[in-house]
Parts: sequence; structure tokens; C-alpha cells
Amino acid sequence: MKKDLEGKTAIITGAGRLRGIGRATAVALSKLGANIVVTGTGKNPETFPQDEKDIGWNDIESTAEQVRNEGSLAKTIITDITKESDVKFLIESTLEKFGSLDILVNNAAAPYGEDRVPIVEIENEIFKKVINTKLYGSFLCSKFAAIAMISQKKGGRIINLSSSAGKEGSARMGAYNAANFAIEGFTQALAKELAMEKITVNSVCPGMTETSRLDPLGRGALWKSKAENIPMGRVGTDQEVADLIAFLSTDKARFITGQSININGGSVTSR
Amino acid sequence: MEKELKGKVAIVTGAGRLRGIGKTTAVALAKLGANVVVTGTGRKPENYPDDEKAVGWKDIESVADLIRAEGSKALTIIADVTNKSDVKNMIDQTIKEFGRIDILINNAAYARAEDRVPILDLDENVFQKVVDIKLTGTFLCTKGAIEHMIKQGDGGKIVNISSSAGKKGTANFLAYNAGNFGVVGMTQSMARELGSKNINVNAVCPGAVDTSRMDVVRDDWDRMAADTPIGRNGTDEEVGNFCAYLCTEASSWIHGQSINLNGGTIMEH
Repeated sequence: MKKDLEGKTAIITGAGRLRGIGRATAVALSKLGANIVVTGTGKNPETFPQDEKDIGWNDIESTAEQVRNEGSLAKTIITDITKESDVKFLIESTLEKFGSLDILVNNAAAPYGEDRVPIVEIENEIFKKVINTKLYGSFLCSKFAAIAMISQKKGGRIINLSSSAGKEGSARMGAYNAANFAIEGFTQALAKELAMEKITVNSVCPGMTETSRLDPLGRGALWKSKAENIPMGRVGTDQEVADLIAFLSTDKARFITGQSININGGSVTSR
Repeated sequence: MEKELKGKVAIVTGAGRLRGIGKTTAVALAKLGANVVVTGTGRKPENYPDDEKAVGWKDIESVADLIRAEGSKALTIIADVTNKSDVKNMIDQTIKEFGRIDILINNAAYARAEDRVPILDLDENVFQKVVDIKLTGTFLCTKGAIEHMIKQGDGGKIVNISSSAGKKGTANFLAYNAGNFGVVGMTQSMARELGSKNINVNAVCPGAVDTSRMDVVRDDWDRMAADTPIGRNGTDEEVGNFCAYLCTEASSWIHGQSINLNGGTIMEH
């Protein structure tokens, strides 16, 4: 049986972490037959989490290996998505290598950490960096991907990673809230612009997910109490979020566009 | 490869129409390996739409044939979902035939037409009927099904069919808006209660979908399509496939949500 995404090419930004939505999405799309381009920022290996160091994890190169293990082709490209020249190079290299671009997953985000302070304390540059990576980066990637998809005339998929933080504001999350709320507005506008081109644009809004991004929270009492406050009584997995992105990437989801879909075990349900 | 829903048992209410979300959902679940119970109200054959008459369609019996054609087992039950003893019978029959209940699709709704009038013209019995089938029906079926899901101890899936009308009020839609907003609220409440039992509860909110339910608005059909960002209305198959996805293991972290499926007409909430 032909796989759902056979012959399709996907770009996934920010896909270098061992425990991360980017990596899990790359694998989920490759299981459906897509060829995958993964990007990372070329982070210094000394800053990798301990569990990555322990197994000799090699950032996007290791993600590419996992993609190849599924029988798909993979390409890695170090990209600063906030730079137009980098993004143009990313799109051009993808088209050169695979001949088409069908799916873009805007997953890259600034790391969790210094931005989680009250607004009166947040460094201006930190605020700008969170907005810049999430919003300006998703804009640049979407713009040049959409240009390619429109000229191909066979539709496409753009999937933006937002968050529960894109639905509900929280203390000490000002920058992250701003960026994620904005992603959802951007998703709606772009969906309306590209609908007639058969390019669907949606966001996925995960709640607390077990990834290295959330390592600063520890895995002790705080983590446990947060998990217990979720109606399902647990946090999510990177694989679960990736499965939803994979579904949205298939032809079955062709009538879903402009939506920002919560995947959070029931923690936020009102928007 | 083993099918994803092999060994699972699903109930789909209001699944007798040839062009309908109940039918396509039942078939999509059967394709994934589930055995499926379908209900209808035992509507009179002379009231069937012409295209059903033309192909000799036999309501839920024909849907059961489609399920069997996918290699799954099927059971048909005539049930008024607002009637407590009918719902009890539906649950009892399902358990008797298949031994368990894993999935419930609350799809039944009152026929569209006489309820689409200004408030001043809306008959209280019609209002009552619309709200009763949507809300009391969903409540009773859910209550009956979760009793078994909880006892079985290995979770379950409930998908409630709401609508764009559950997200945005429209003139002349009073009863239908009330019913569908109510379903969204019930979905959130059920999700918070049942999450710890691993029973996922979500709603699906379709926009204009090409079903026999919409035959009364064919004069307006092209305009509705043109008003959709994507430039067309939806198909029952698109909604059925999404409902089936929400019944798979892969979607277990999606919980308490009311998800729009509408070609972009409504993006909020």
C-alpha cells in the first residue's frame, strides 16, 4: 500500500533535540513516506543535555539518521531562521535536493529559561529574541515556502507550533505568550490567503510535553504537581504531538485550515 | 499489520443516511477494524431522500452492510436517544453482542428545517426537540457508555458532533446554536471528569458539509461554498475520517477540545 506522504518533502525547523517535538515530527512524517529536511542552529555540543551526551547524540545529524532508518531521505541544514539569506538557502537547497516542498513545520523556538520572569524584570533583548525566533522566523520560513508551494500548484501544508501559552496568558510568560498568541493570528491570516491554493495552514498548541525544552522545570515535586493538575493526570509526549502534526499533513486533513488545535490532556479547553 | 481498532467496539448514533456523517464515521471506524453498532430512529422509507430510494437504501441496515464489507461486525438498533429505556436497550444489546464498549460517537440530531426561523416564529416543541436530541441524547448515551468504559478499566473515546453553530450564533439558528454550544460545554465538563479514567472526550465542529441533512439549503449551497476560504463545502467522508482519527491511540493527548473542520470559515475558539 502506498504510504500517505510518499513523494512529499517536508521541512521541519528546530529538530535537533533527542527529546523534542521537531525530532518526533521528522520521524512521524518519514514513517508516512515523506523525505525530510531538518534544521538546527548548530548548537555547541557542550551545551547538549546530559542524556544526549551519554548516547553520543549528534543533533540534527542523529535526527536525520532516524529518518533514514524509516526508509526516507533526509537532509540537514544549519539555519538561522531569523535571517532571510539563511531561509532562502534552506528553501532553495530543499528544492534542489528533492524537487518539491510540500510541508513546512515551523517548530523552532528560543530556549525556555531567561524569558520566564516578570515583565518588569525581563531583559529587552531576551524579549526580542523570543518574538524574533518564533514569529519572525515562522514568517520568513512560511513566506518563502508558500512562494515555492504556490508555484508548484499542488497545494501544501504549513503547520505552526504554538502552545497552550498561545491561548491563555500566565504570569512570567509575557514574551512566550505574546509570540504564541501572535502565531495563531498569523495562522488565521495566512490560512485565508492560501486557502484557494489548497495550502492549509494550522497551528498545534501543546500543553506540557515531556521534552528537554522543559528540563529547567526539573522532574520533581513541581513537575508532578503540574501533571496532576492536568485532567488526564499526566503530561504529553513528543510523539503524541508529532502524531497530530502528521495527521494534519495528510490528505485526510484537507478541509481543516486556519485552526489552532489544542493537544494538552484537557488543561486548556476554552479556546 | 494489525488494524488500529481491532477488538474495539463503537456505537455511532444517527447513522442511517446514505449521505451523512454517521455513515462515514461508522465506515471509517470499520476500516480501522472496529466492530460498529449503528442506531437510527426507524424513519419511514417513504420519507427517504430520492437518491436513497433510487439505490434501494435501507437506512441503518445498509450502513451495517458497508461495515461488514470492511470485514467488521455490525449491529443495528432502533433507538430514540432521548428515551432512557431505548438508550439502556442500546447499551445492553451492544454488551450482549460484543461484550464491551470502547467508542461512542454522539452524532444523532433533529432534522434541519422547521427550527431555522426567527425566535418569534420558533415553536417551543421544535426548540425542545432540537435541544433534547442534541443534549439529553448525548448525556444519556454518554452516561450509559461510560459506565462500561470505567468498569472495563482501559479507557475509551467519546466524540460529540457539534457544529460551527456551536462556536458562533447566527440569526434563525436559536435552537441549533443552543444545542451545539451546549455540546461544547458538555464536552469540556465530561473531559475534566473522565480524563483520569483515560476516557478521551472531544467534539468535532463541522461547517457546511454535503449531506442529505443540507438538502433543504441547496438553493444557497454555492454561496455557502464561495463564503468558505477554501472555496468549497466539506464532505461527510472528511468529517468521518477525522472522527475516526480521534478514536485512535495516536490522538490520546487531544482531550476536551471542540475542533473546527470547516475549510476556514470559523477559526476562533
